[in-house]
Amino acid sequence: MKWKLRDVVVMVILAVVCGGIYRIWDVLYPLVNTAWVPSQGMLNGLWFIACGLIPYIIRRPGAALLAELIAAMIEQALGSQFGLQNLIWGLAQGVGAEVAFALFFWRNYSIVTMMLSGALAGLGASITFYFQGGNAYVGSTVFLYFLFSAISGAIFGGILPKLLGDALHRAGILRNFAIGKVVAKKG
Amino acid sequence: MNQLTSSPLLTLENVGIWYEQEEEPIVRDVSLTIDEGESLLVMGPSGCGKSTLAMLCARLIPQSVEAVVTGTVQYDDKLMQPGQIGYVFQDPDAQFCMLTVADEIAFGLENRGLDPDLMPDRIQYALQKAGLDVPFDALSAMFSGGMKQLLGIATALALDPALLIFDEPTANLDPLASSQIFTRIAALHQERKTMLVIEHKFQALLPYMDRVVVFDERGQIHRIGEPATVLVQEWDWLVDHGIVSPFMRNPFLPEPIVRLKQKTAALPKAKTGDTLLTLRDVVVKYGEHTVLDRLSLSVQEGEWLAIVGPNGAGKSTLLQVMAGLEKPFAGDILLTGKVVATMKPKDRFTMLAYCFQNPEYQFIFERVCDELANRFVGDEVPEEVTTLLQRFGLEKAAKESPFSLSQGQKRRLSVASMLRKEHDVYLLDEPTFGQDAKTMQAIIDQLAGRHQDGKTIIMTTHDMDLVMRYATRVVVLSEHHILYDGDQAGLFERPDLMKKAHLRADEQVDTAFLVTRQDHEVRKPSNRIKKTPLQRLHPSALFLTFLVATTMAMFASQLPQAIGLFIASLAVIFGIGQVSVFAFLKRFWPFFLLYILYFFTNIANIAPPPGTHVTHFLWYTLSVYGLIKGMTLSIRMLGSVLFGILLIDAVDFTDLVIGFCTDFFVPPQFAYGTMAGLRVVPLFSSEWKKLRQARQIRGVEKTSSFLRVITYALPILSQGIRMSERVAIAMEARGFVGVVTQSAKARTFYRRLKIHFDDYLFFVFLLFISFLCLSWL
Repeated sequence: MKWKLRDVVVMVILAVVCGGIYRIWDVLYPLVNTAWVPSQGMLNGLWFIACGLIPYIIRRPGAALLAELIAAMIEQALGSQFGLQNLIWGLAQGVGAEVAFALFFWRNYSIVTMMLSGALAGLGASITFYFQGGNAYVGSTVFLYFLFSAISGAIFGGILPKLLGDALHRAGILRNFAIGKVVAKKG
Repeated sequence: MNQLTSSPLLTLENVGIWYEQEEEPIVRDVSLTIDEGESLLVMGPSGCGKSTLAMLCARLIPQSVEAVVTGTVQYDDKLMQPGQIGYVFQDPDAQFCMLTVADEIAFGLENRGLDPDLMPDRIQYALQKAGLDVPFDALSAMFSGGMKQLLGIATALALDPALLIFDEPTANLDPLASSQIFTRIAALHQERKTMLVIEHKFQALLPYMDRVVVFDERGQIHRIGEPATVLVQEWDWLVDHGIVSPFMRNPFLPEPIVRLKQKTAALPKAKTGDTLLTLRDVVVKYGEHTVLDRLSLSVQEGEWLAIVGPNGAGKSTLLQVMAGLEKPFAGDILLTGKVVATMKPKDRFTMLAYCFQNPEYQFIFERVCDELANRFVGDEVPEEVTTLLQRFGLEKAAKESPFSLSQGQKRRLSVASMLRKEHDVYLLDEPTFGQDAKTMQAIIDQLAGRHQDGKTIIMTTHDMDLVMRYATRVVVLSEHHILYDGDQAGLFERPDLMKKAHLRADEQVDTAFLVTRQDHEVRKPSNRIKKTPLQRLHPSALFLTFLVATTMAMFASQLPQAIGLFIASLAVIFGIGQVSVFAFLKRFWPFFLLYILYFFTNIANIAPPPGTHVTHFLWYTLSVYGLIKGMTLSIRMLGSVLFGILLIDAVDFTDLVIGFCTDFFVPPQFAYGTMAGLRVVPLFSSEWKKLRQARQIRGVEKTSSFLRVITYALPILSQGIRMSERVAIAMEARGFVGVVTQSAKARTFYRRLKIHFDDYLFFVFLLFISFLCLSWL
């Protein structure tokens, strides 16, 4: 459970990649959002890859929160249109995802936990959305936004990172990380 | 040579090393002593465990790299302190964790707890010893591979280590840069530093080595002895086991020059046919930087063309331009008379095959056999694939992931998949790069076969032996131009040209030339001349202050409140931040359109209170109430963006991260781990580009499935993961272990960061203003 230096470095490197990807999604955001606000919820999961993938690989307490925060910082440093608000989103999403892993004492990384983590990240995003202006919108908009965020989070922030992590594991490059150790013991 | 010492520095007795999950030990029955003042050369085929043994000697195994060690290992007390064993790694990019040269060298000193006042002198001393003449604030990411390795040596020497380990330090370097490193090793030998050197290109080092240790492929020591004895007696064994290539000359058995010339002349004359590829006045630019300048060249059918020249001369770019992977800024490229740019990629890549320097870019599938077949083949591996697998010695790995292969296997796989179909031209970027003699021979034999069939081969390489033996024509590229174009014999008669193109490794390095070349690349004016009031604040405190202000701004629900906060942030950015309005607008304008959309979204969706006049437009509801509310939200967001831009502009990144460690209780492990991770960011953009090119060659299927995304992400992620492991090991080798990783108090800091009264003042000031705006307006 104790963090090793290589866990930290791999977290940062992967979070940087995710942050770069987030910056690409940022361009989609105003277009989707302008058309219909809740539809943004459907895409939200794409911003939760870091807080799913990284804890899935390194399996350390705090990994989801830190990874999402760093990814948000990178996204912001790359010139995201959200400014420092980005960090607040990152914080809320990271806390949401972290709660799911904490519920299982950071020992369970099954598909169910992963999906729950993605959905809770979606809840975090929805709460931020509410305080960032969602409270001025119609109630149904806010509700749909949350519902879609949770579903999208479970898919893009839960299943996708798991598939990615498993593929990396099969490629044999994660042997020295927690995911490699756990799966090896089972086998 | 051993009479100088009484007791050995390091003793290994019957040592075996197992990696978890491996069936066989990687190193077995190793008994070896290293005496003080001794230089030891280690050689053996790739995968024989040389690096593993070196990591054991450096005490990185089993502390940093987990492995089971059997037998006895005895370290002298001198080696027990952290940082007392200097380690120079193979990959120049994966051994640093800081941005500037001074921070990098200071990192090891900080872990030792050296007084920061003494650090500048030690840094200067280390740079001098390593022969690296660069300013303290030079960014190591801008360095050439050779300079990075010299910096690696400097970081080790700063700690005055009792043992220095070089793990194939020149594997990624051109001949000249390699000889720079060898010159350093020779100098260190003269000072009687204890050294363990692993090196494939060992010839130049032999005079400076006291003993040679030869490993076989099972990880056992085959022979230990003085270089002259071992190489004379074991030469044939070394050739047989693929440690030296068959066309390499034994340095202890002088071969008459005449025979060399005969060798070259004995090659079959090139059966050249029609013109295949023509480049006319090709110019390639990356931004402002010209890579190729009005270059013209034509290649005949049946030629074996070698493109040589120093690192960074544009060899790979030239190859990419030929394949149509890189678009020239000006000029034409004709392939059998047709303009490459207008050819369909499919037609182009039926004619030509391309092999990247990093084999991983080419891998699309999750299994070696699918990769070779270029489609998913299931459990029944087709016969033609099996034949290919056998020919390249990959039959055992058929069902494994291409990414899990060894470096040599990966390279063989990428060449094998390139040779799967018949092509007219084979373009290869450093096909023998980082390979042992055996893999090299396997690849070259295949290429030679194709060449015999009349196919054209174009390759970039640093390996002059290879050029001499196989190429029918050499093009020397240096400083964006062709310096030489003709046969090898002519080139070897022009020592001036060879020197200019960094092709000679056998003579003293012309340091004067080197320094001037480094000068204009590295010596950029220092940007820390004048600090604005904001830059004098503690960066981490500033960051947190802005974050708190942004959070408070979330509670601005009325337009006047939002405007008030916005004016306050403008005052901070232009007043205290002293940002020029023009520079700000330049940064800001790309967001403008986005804000209009955002603004509209707010107006169109905001729920007006009952009884408000509402206009319906499409599915939106527009109202004056919504307009005002929308403005409030948009302005609030703008304020957050202002702070964001200000932070990027004003704050020194290293200070920000390290500041969290010195003053905000973030453990050094997290702060320095973050620095190390961020250091590799610039590498990703170039990786991404190459990956896209590789996919273009393979002719990626149009069906974009969910899983396709994953295979696309694999090479980049796996590169990142491997890199982070290496960086972490390199950091631990420099004494970043134990309590110094957990507590800032356990180590010293080269950068002096301290929270002052001003920092508190600014925090209180910004919070007070925000509070005023929220409560009064």
